[in-house]
Amino acid sequence: MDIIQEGDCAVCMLKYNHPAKLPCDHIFCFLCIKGVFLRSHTCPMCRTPIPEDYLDNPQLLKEILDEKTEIDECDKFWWYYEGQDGWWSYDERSNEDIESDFNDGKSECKLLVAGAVYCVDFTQMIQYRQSDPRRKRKVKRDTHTHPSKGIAGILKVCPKQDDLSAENINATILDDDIDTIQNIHENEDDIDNMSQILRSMSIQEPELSSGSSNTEDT
Amino acid sequence: MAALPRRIIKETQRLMQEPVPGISAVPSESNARYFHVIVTGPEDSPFEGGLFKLELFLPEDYPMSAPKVRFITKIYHPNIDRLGRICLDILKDKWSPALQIRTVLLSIQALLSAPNPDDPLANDVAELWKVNESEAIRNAKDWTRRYAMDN
Repeated sequence: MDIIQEGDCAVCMLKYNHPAKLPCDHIFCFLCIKGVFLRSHTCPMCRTPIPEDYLDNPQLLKEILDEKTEIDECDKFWWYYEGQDGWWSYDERSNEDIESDFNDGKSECKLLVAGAVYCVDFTQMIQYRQSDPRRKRKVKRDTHTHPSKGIAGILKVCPKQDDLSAENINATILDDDIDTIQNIHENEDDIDNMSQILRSMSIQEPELSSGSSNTEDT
Repeated sequence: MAALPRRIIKETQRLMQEPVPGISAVPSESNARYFHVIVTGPEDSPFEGGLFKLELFLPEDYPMSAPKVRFITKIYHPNIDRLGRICLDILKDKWSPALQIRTVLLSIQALLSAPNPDDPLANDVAELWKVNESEAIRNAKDWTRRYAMDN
């Protein structure tokens, strides 16, 4: 099979966004793997079966954040969608698309997330699934420091201070569908910005052979 | 996704900048998900010398689902039916989102080099291919000359 480019996710062909590693060692964005999993349960690269419980217990890799992005682009607003008792932050990429369409005065923004097309309707401030418009959620635009449950279904984890160095912190993953949300233990401690959320989820260095490809502009 | 997912934009750019030998894929001006494709018949195949037009469409949930591809030029091949539909596993149950437009088109080109009458879509063609291969190849060459050469 054709390997697209080192350092890029083979599904979205962009630099990894919340990279997650499968047991076969192939790495993809978490949301890309989620989209794949909901359809085929096999690794897109080698077709090794993905464990049934993988989404509940993914192996998330440390994200390499572009400091500039944090300062320049995350300074004002972030988009959130409603979850059970709380708001989820959209992932960075979706947020950028929504914000851009919003600022362009469009009435809606379409997103391809985890293999499904979602529509964010700015007039009603709701998000719905294009294939099933009954599945709606409220959305809102707020400061990026607004408290949230996590990013796009990846629940933020706030380890205790002395656990911060622990090698294996598992982020808890929630199903994106509001109707199937189960009870989860959620730490309500405030994390005041996205980068802290990301750092708190970090588990280990990604096994990327070339660091430079990660700085490629999307 | 203002209009088009970034992956589609990237794939399109790469197809233009580094085209695959023997394959051209150009997006339609009115719909960036619809590609006009031309595949040249592989050497040492009954399709050699032919230029085969195909259409390729990227569905809304691409790459989670496979591109839809169809031959427009008539072709005598056991795995391609009279409507141009292609019997190829990677376009169906063996699709993987790590495959791309270019890998799909390469697979189709390979299918022209290696017809598989045991997994037929055009039953009459496959039957002849099995019982009288030389006649089937003659038909394929004849169709190539008639339908894939004069444009």
